Amino acid sequence: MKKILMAGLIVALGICFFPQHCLALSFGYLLPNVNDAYGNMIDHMYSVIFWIVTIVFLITEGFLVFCVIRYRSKEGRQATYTHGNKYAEIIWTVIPAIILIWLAIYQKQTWDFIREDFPPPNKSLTVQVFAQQFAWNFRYADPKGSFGAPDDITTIDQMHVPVGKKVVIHMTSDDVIHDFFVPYARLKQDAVPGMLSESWFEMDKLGCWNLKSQTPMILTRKQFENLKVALDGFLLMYKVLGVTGARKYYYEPMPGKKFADVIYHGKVSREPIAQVQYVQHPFEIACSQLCGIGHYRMVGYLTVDTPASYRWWMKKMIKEKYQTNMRLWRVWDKYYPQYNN
Amino acid sequence: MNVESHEEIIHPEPTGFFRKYVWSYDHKVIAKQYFFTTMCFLLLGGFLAMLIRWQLAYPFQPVPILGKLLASRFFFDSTGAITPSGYLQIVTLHGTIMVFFVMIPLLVGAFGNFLIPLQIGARDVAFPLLNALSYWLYVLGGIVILSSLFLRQGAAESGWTAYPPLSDVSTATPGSGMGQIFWLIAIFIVGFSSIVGGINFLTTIVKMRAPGMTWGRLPLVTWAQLITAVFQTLATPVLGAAATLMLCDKLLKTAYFIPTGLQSADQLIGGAGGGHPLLWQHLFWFYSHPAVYILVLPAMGIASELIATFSRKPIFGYKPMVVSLAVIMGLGFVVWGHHMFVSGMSPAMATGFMMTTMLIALPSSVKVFNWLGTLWKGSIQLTSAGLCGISFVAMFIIGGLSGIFLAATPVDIYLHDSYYVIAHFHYIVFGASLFAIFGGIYYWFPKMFGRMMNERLGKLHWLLTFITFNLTFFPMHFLGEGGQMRRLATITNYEFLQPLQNLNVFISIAAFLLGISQLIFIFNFFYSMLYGKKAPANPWNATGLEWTLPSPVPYYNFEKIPMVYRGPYEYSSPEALKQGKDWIAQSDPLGFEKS
Ligand SMILES: [Cu+2]
Ligand SMILES: [Cu+2]
Repeated sequence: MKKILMAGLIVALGICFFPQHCLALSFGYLLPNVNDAYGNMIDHMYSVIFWIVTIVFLITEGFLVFCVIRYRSKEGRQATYTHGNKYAEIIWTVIPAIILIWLAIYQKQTWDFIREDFPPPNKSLTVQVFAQQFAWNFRYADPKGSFGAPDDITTIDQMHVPVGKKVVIHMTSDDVIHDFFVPYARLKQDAVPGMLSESWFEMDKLGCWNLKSQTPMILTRKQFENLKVALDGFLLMYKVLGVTGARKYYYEPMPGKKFADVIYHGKVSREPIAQVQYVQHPFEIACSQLCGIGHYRMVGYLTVDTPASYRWWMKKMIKEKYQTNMRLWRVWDKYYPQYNN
Repeated sequence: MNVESHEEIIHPEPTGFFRKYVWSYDHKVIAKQYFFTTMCFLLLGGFLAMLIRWQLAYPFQPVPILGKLLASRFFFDSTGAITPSGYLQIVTLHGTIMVFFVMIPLLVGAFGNFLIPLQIGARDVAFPLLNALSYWLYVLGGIVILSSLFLRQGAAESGWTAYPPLSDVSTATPGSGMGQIFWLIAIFIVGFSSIVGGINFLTTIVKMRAPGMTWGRLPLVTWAQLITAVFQTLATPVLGAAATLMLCDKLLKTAYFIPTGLQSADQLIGGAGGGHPLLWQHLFWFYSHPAVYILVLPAMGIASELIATFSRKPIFGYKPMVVSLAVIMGLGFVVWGHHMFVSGMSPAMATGFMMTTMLIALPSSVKVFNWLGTLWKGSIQLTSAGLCGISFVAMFIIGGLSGIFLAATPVDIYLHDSYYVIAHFHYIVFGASLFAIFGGIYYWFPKMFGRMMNERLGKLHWLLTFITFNLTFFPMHFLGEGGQMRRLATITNYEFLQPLQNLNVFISIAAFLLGISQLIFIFNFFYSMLYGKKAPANPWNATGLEWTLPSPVPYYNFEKIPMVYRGPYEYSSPEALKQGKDWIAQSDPLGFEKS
């Protein structure tokens, strides 16, 4: 019985700690980062803490397992009578204290950069975000740069930002607390009714979809410009694979469409849809705060554009006088007029 | 401490069924009442967790058997699948039940009640009537929360954190009508029960220690209960106040948490407005961060006891252990803002809360090192109780270390409200606390029921729970790193989360196995209660005062109030070894006979 128990104990500890932690070590699950301004800083903080924690984990759990095996009770073993050791206490108080205080100071720089060093208005693009159950509304300033005029662009669930441009988000919510979460950008900020929260980010990579393999790609600006990428004419579809609800996503040409607007080296041209190999693909905006029964299906789309495709999109929106949900934006203009110019 | 004054208040044991088992003043009976009630709630809460895992692995698929039985009722639609609203009710109830109706009353109500008087050498708690009141208030709160299930629009569904305006505005979500009102009333009542209990234990430990039971000789279980009682007494009123304010919002049309101009279902809400949603978050977490310590400090006490006893060594660094408890108490009141880093709270405040949170990691790590020091060069007996106590430390290390990621403000931006958080606190509350509770049950069961639990089944239960627990909760770190948000009825609506669905299925299967493994414990518990081996007074050769009493403990605990001569964990002391045993009871006058 005792032997079986010991074997079980070792196997259990083995199964539970080490392979799992090695898996985590591979960073396999952390999403790629596309926010160059500070996403890398967050990932860097993550890995700094990860290595500290891993070392502490191995030392403490290793020592624990060692003690359990080495000092297990058996014939003739006598426990050592001791009430502690002053020097040991000092060592294991002071060393963790130094590490923790260092960590606190070290991460403060990153936090201050993300949350206090906002880019100046003339060097950034401001987008207003108004959350509601269960959608994201966006508003872009009119060509003169002010919001609340009759001709500004408002969209629902569709956000476009130019690559390499700092984007400042002014955000609130209409009904309950939502949370604006762009996982690839390491951006997360609550949208709280009754107050305006500010955050910012800068995308340095673009999303794209390979039609041949039907898989997403994340590209640098250079890589993107070297591909012929369709800006419209395609629909994102999915099929459910089984009882687990997992989906296979794919793009399909819009029914009846013969031509698509394709961008290549900063120039937009119309090309036959049959020749298209790549489609511009947005990053998802998730809601990270419980906001009601539609919380699980509150998805927005953040498309990262090159300057040329951003102009193309803006022109299209202005031409179509694209506006939705104006009731909501009148609420904004009433309560947050100071953020409109 | 006056022994005679205790003699005066001795009453004969009540004989009627009602006074003996229902409205009893005996702390041991009340402890058992708490124990059985919390165990029922634990089963319910665990069962709700199984439903959560079913939904996440097989979203909107009919639940086997149960879905058929309860189709169109409670959380289920006509096909027996969980509805989106039902899912939120389940999530809310799981969290609420596990925190307010299982862990706090189990650790404090059951273990505290049973152990404090026995360990300090008292005949009962300071206020037996309040003790009974505290239990029955808790039952009342339980009835209120359970009856909310039968409401037409269902139970509360804004999570156990009940953030307004979602919880506050009745049209925001179906459960925020009557369901949320029931939730608030239930929380107010259990909060009241917790305050009453805290005051009672505080007084008991300060005033009723047996002669010689100095602060430096108090067992760590009781020390932990003392600190917990401070948290309960000082923090819970804030929760009560917050719940009252929200009740006013809902019933009297005030607007404490409703800002000006709030809309819901395209209607302007809240009359004059002028409230603020973040106010609730501050009040709620002012209580609920200390509540996290209420959930783990008593378990730390239990683990200390188990580790000392089964290593046959005095606890390593008794004083640092007590000091770190006290430091946790002090800092525990000023870290609540770490739940609000991305809430829109001032970034400068976030930095302040980040600093205090980094600091509070220190006393916890000191405790871990002292537990390891206790194991070092011991003679470790791997009984089921001992294994559970050691598992507490192993799991607490993981939960503590993952907390550092979340305490780091920049990293929390990415991990906030993700499954990383779920993994983190389940390692603390389930991995650590519940293992200590299992260990505590194996350990004190003989004292409670006069019989021993089956060791073989106990070890099997420990082994299966340990493996399946880790297989369930460790991969949740990966889900969080992959960006999976908490409280989603399904992740399948997000393209970026698709790669995680297989892992979710894996976790669910592990969770079902974890659930099934608990049947071993339930069987062992009831079988041993009825047919277990008769327990001697001190089956573990332990040193505390409770082990000087017969098993089960007689009505009046101590026939004569004991005299305490030494510290709580005198294992393997040379004096004892001279006597041919490796322990000396706290009340053993060995070496003091002449004085
Ligand atoms: Cu939302
Ligand atoms: Cu906290």
